[in-house]
Amino acid sequence: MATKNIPVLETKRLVLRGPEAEDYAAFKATFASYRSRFMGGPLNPYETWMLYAAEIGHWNIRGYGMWMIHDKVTDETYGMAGGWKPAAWPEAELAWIIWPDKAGQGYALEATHAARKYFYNQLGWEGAVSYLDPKNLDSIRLAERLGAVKDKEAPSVDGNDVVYRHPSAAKLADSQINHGIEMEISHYADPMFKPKGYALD
Amino acid sequence: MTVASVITTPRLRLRRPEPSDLPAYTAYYMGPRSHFVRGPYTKAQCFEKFATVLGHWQIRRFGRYTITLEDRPIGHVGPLMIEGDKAPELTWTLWDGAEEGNGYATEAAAAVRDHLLGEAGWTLLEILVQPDNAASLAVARKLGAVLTDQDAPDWYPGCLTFHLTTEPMQ
Repeated sequence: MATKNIPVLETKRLVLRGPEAEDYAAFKATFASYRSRFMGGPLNPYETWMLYAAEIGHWNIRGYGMWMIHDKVTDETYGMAGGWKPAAWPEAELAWIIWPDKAGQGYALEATHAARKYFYNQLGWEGAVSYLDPKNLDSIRLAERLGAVKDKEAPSVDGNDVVYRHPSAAKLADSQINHGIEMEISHYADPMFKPKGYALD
Repeated sequence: MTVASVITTPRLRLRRPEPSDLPAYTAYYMGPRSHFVRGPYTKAQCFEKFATVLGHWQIRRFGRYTITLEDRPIGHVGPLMIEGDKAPELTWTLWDGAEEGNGYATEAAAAVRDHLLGEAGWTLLEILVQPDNAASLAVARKLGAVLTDQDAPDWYPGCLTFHLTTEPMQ
């Protein structure tokens, strides 16, 4: 699958496209930074490039993968979101990473919500999990906002992560969780909206 | 000129790697033959390495080819450029020891060398080989590679560095 064949998803504020060579700089900066500590980082330049190439190759092998999140208007990148299932993963994961200086705008919520909808509706996934570092409170909070709940029975990747199980496709469709997520996203998109608390991710 | 995605030799067809190569690729990297390239690796590491090989083509518009013999994948050969500021590295490996001794690695690597330093217009290829890897040292010699005194990179300690250039051999 060439990156040009990766499906493009559009949301209120974002466009999700396959990762391209020209999007590498922000990815590299993020994985060189402390921000990547819950995703196996920080990585050196050699390891970072290998991982970025693997993000693209994952699409070829699995037929799904991680999208690059772009601003719909400026095309600037904010992070990545999508599906991830390297050989060690017990189940397909919904994953996300937001560049450190782009956090707090609800981009991860909006992008991951769109990715999950695509996997459920277009690829026929019945469910998904997220493997999270128990210290990664921002991502645990995001998993909860997406309606995922901790699954203590499910196998984790290596015992150092916790498994959050997303609501199944059947359970999510037209549910209160779904409406709540869409309302939260529309609030982020509304320039007049003042959130009561600080959005972490 | 752009780098070809298929190169044919008298006995072999070199093509871009495909997901169907993953089982043979994994068997090699999980097996004892990979000890010259810091193996063996776990199945999970093999998946990520193979995903990197596929993504390399997308990012750089060139990469490693899968060597096929009568449509069967038997190894890989081709240029890698992980760090953009370093010379591309020409690599080759036969995945199964049973294929050794037939000159396949030399035939494949020579065809890639001719294409890159010829039609594609490249000027320099590096070759990194561990000093005790006699089979690969022999291939490097047959390719006309010249040993340099360059230091081994951090990720591949102890290796010898050869250069292949368009300069005629002395």
